[in-house]
Amino acid sequence: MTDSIERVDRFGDELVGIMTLPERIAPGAPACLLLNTGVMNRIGPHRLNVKIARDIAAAGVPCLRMDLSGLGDSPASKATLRADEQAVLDLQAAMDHVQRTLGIDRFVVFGLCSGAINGYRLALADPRVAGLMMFDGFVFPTFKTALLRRWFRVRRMTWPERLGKVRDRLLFRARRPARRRLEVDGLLDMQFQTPSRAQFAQNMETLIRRGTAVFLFYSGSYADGHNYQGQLRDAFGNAMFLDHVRYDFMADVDHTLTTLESQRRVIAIFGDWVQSLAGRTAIST
Amino acid sequence: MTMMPFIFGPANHRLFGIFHEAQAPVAGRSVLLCTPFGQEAIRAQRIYRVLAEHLARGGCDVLRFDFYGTGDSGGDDEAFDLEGAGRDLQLALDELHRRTGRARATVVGSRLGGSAAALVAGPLSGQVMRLVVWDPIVAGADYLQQLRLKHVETLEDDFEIHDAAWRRTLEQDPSSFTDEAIGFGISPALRAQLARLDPRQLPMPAGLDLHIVARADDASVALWLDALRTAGSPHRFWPIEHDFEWTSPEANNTSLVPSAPLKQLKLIIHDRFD
Repeated sequence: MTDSIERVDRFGDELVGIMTLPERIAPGAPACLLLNTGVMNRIGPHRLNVKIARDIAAAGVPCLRMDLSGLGDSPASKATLRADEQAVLDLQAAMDHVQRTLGIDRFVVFGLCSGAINGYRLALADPRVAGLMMFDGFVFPTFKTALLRRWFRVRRMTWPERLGKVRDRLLFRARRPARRRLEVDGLLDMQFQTPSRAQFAQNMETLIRRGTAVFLFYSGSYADGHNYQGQLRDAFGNAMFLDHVRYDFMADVDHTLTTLESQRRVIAIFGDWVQSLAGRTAIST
Repeated sequence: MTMMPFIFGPANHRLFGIFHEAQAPVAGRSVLLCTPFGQEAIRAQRIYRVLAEHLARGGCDVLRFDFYGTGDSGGDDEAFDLEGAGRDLQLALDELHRRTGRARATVVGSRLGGSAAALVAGPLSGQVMRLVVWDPIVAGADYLQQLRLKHVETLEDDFEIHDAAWRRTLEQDPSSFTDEAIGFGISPALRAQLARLDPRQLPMPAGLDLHIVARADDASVALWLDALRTAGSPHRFWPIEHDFEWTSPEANNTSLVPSAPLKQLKLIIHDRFD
């Protein structure tokens, strides 16, 4: 069996990326950008980006997995921009490179955790982003999220632990630590600034009106932040964007896709979604 | 500093490597860095980059590469096994030779990368000037058990709602969680090779300049050291303390570049002993 066609690409300020090329690029196909997660290099958690790239390229879509400045094998930038600003410039350099070498000017971006946020910023900054999948990006907890979170904790306890908890509450109520505040709207990684709900809804609407498809995917790892299907509807009410984004919550998939079965499911879901975007035009709202 | 990522090997067996060219070449100084497998390879990426850059600044030509089935190299996870890794090591040594003109190199490997290097040190002795292994896996069966446990612990850490069957299956079925570990597939071939990997039966060829870097309390390495002493195989053991957690989930804020092993590996490679 022959390996996927892959080449090393350098672009921007000597950034490093691996391009996975299909034998034949499907008509109207976008190119896919796979982003760093946290401080991990371009292969992604559990080599996920490699697996996604090869799967999607087999369906005719070229994929570039790359390291942002200072991550993986890319050198640190000599500029003094904030990391989020530099990330957008790096990703735009990648899109310029793909456009120059493959002639493709529509991109689908897959970002997990911090990658989701970098993808979000890129999509807002550059209309070439035709699709954005945010895997465990910004979270907007509701009252129900908090209730469920408490229920999950109780479920994990043994009966002696539960009784001990009740006893502690009754005996030491006066000395109980300050009530733990429900996590405010927040990203899973707190170093990133989370937009307000109004700002997020407005930005989503901007993307949708521009024709960018958005896929908001939440795993079952962050019970503090997102823990039930339908949470976005509760958090945002009748916001226009909810009728136009794809939104999935999968409680049996974890944040870094630790099982091979969960990897296969997410790769298939993402691959089908990318296929559905070929030739797509802006939504009329 | 010149750093060149590239792909090499035959069309059906593509390997990813990065060549760090020496800033001021020292005669006879080529270094091959062999990565671990699975989650441990992800954990090692940063320290390997930093080590390669330090060595290149110190006058070494360095090639670091991913075994087939790992990192950016071709193949699914299950394509990795120790015998294949040995063949990859030969390809990488040939590539390093082609780029530097030097026939022999110092080979550095950690975890299963160290095991693979140790297993082929005999056949490749003509090309290996020095072998340095850091926290090598020498007791394969124990290692597989550790991976099983870590896999379940990772699932329990990652999910708010635990599936009690994970822990029950782990304890009751010894064959459970042996075909995947912490997000990476494990082939039957690798499982069989791990079952055979025994520190008491891992002899090293005479004349090999072998350096073992490991925690002083690593029981399996201690068994290997005993076996090497009994067999009269020359070696040097460098006990170090470090808090590098090889299988740590990437989201944890654990050390990326532990200083003790970095310093020790540089000293050994540069011959600055003691």
